[in-house]
Amino acid sequence: MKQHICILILFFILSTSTFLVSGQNQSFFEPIPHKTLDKTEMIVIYNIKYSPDSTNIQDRFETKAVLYIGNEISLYQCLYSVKREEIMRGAENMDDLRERAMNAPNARFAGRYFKNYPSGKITVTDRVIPDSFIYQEDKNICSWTLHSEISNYKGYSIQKASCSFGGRDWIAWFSTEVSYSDGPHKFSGLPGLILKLYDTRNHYLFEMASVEVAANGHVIEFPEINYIQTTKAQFFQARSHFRDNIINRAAEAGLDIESQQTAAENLRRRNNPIELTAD
Amino acid sequence: MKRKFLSLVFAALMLMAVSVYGYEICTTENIHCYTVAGPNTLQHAGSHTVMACGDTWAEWADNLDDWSEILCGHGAWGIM
Repeated sequence: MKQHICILILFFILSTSTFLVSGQNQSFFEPIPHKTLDKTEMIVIYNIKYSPDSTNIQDRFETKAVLYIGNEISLYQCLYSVKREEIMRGAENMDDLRERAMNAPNARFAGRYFKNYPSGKITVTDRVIPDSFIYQEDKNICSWTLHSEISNYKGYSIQKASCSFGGRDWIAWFSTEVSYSDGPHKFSGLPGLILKLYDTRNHYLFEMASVEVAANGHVIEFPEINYIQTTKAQFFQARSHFRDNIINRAAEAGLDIESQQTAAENLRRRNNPIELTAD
Repeated sequence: MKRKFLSLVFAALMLMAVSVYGYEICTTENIHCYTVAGPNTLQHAGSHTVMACGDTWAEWADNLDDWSEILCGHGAWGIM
């Protein structure tokens, strides 16, 4: 009996002390292991304007995204998450990390979209606090209709196309002058790069801000972390479950009642994702 | 009988500990929210104490970023 009690006490001392000192003992910001997927050929920056609250679409938010295009594979993600990682990577200790966290821009969306990885598929990595998920879907997410309308955008000749995806009707303007069949978010499959994209309700607008040839040696990398393997539908469910249980999830994260209410209220105002349905 | 019972209790406690301490890093942070009050002017808009976790510092930082997004909306934030 005494032996068991001793083992129990020892176990708790060990586990509690591990928990308490874990923050100090980690070597700082060891780079996440990455797998190189492709050599980057072009870097496209998009400005995004969107309405996160469908009940108040006048409340427009803005962010930027980056599309790295390789010979076979491309990666689309929030530009600020790239900048954030660059800033945080050099942290030498906890105080330095906090300082850097304060100065780093917020990533407005956590999703990373790897097109044609594996061949013919899109691999998506995304987060629902505190977990990272991974799922795949077909690269051809919609059937484009090409329209005869042409126009100009930032010196490029562009042509109109349309398709339905994720519960929205989308209008894309692409240019064959940039001969990469790619675009923002999961969109691709047109005879040129999508320079402008918006949904017909004008909740989301993507506009190309710049197109540049990538610097020599720039590569598209896949972060190898402990993802939860799932399907798109299950990921959407997990996200929805988090929203439905925000009070409990906030309480689990140690937030007081007032902060729990703030989190719930702010999430209520973020009810308008790019993809409304898992299709 | 007693031994079996204690072994079960021990196993259950271990399971609980693993689920609670499932992440390698967990720290409690104060997130301060700010709103933009003018050119180069930020106004304090409340603070929140949250436990951020992750298997690595990079994941910890992502987790903190996620919570700041939810708690501060699209305002600025910082940790202290």
